Amino acid sequence: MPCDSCGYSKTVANIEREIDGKNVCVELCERCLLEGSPRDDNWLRDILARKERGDRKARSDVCPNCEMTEDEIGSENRPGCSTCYEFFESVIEKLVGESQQGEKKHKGKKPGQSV
Amino acid sequence: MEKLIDSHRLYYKGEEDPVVNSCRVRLARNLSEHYFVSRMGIDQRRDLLKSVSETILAKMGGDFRLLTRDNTKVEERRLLEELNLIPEKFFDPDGYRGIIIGGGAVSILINEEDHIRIQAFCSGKALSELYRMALKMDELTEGVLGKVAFSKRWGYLTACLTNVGTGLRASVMVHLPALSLTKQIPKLTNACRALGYTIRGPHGEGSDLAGNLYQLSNQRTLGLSEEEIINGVIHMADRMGGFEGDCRRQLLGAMREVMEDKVFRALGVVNSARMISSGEAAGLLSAIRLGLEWKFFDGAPKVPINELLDNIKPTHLSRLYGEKIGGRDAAQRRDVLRARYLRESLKDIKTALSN
Repeated sequence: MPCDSCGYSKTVANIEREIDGKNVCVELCERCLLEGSPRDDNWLRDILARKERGDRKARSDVCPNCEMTEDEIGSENRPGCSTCYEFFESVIEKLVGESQQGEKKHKGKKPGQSV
Repeated sequence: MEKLIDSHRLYYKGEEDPVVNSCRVRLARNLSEHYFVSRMGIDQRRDLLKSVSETILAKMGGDFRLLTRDNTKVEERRLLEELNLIPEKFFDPDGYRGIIIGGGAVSILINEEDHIRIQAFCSGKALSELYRMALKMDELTEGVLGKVAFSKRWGYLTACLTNVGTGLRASVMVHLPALSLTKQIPKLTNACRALGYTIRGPHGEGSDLAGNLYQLSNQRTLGLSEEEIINGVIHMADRMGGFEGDCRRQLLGAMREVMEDKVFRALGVVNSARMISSGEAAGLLSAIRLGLEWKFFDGAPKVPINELLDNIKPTHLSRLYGEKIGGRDAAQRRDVLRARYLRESLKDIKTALSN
């Protein structure tokens, strides 16, 4: 089950609580668990409400396409998909600068171009 | 399969050169609607291998075939590895990787680090021609495979940031016995690195420098056009060839007797030894190559030295002598066959010197 707060697929905890007379179970990924207030019923209510509305707050450090995290890209110098290049532009820019001796822009051919 | 391997081994013959052994060009490409390979699950890799290979083969036809783990034997895979057509572990189980090969200079790896890697090899010097061949293959595959992962800013999007941009790695294998002997390789390596090129032992990063062979390649793939990269590597290889040539002449001038001794000892070992390890063989072939260059010898090897270097590898030897080599004494048996093979292949080489 994905994280109820942000939708990230790797969850680490589920919190069972009685809220408003109902037994609920909230799945959380590591980041949402650490940054949130899992003991606070109001916080949990807010997550469940947003989930109901289809309004999850996606993490800004997780690629919406392949779920690669910013940390993973940094540690391996490897984006997970084409979307990562756009989604993590500033991280990519820094890492490319390091790998490519400061170069920042493509100067070669494009697809569909006959050279 | 055997025919495929043999015709590949005759691969494209570039211009013979006293320093440049062989050349290689590699283009990395990915498809935009799939995760990069390391992120793909087994099912996705299997499906991609099937769809990409079928699409490409339908367009190419002719002698091209897809080789995978499933349709090759262990020995065949090792031969492909020994020819540097595939990296180690390429055909590990569950990798769902394949190589499309057709007996010419160009082949295509599927699901290696990138979805597609187009590679071209030649013996001797022909880097520009290799690039043109790889480019033709790139245009062909791009035409049939659909959307290539590309952005205006970053160029061709690759699985590893060290390849982004052109996705082009151009390499030249150079023979530098004089620079090695005079211990100038570290200085050369630093100078190259400052200019944006790397020099490595023959099998990439961190490998042995056996046989005085080194691989020179471009470091950057971004911020330069493909032509700039190719011309840059050619130019660097020419300069390196110049340094090596000067150094060889100096050695011949200042240390002639030492060089003669080195070269003739090598020939002596090849003619007489009954067991030669692969490390020793590489060194002997380097010295003999130098002797041929310097015209200390008359006659020629039965087979070009580049091919000898491949033929003395374990699976090649097994195949040449029709022997399945295994068990506890395998290494020793290979050393025996290697010695025999070298003796046979170099037996027409005789001294040209009067002393």
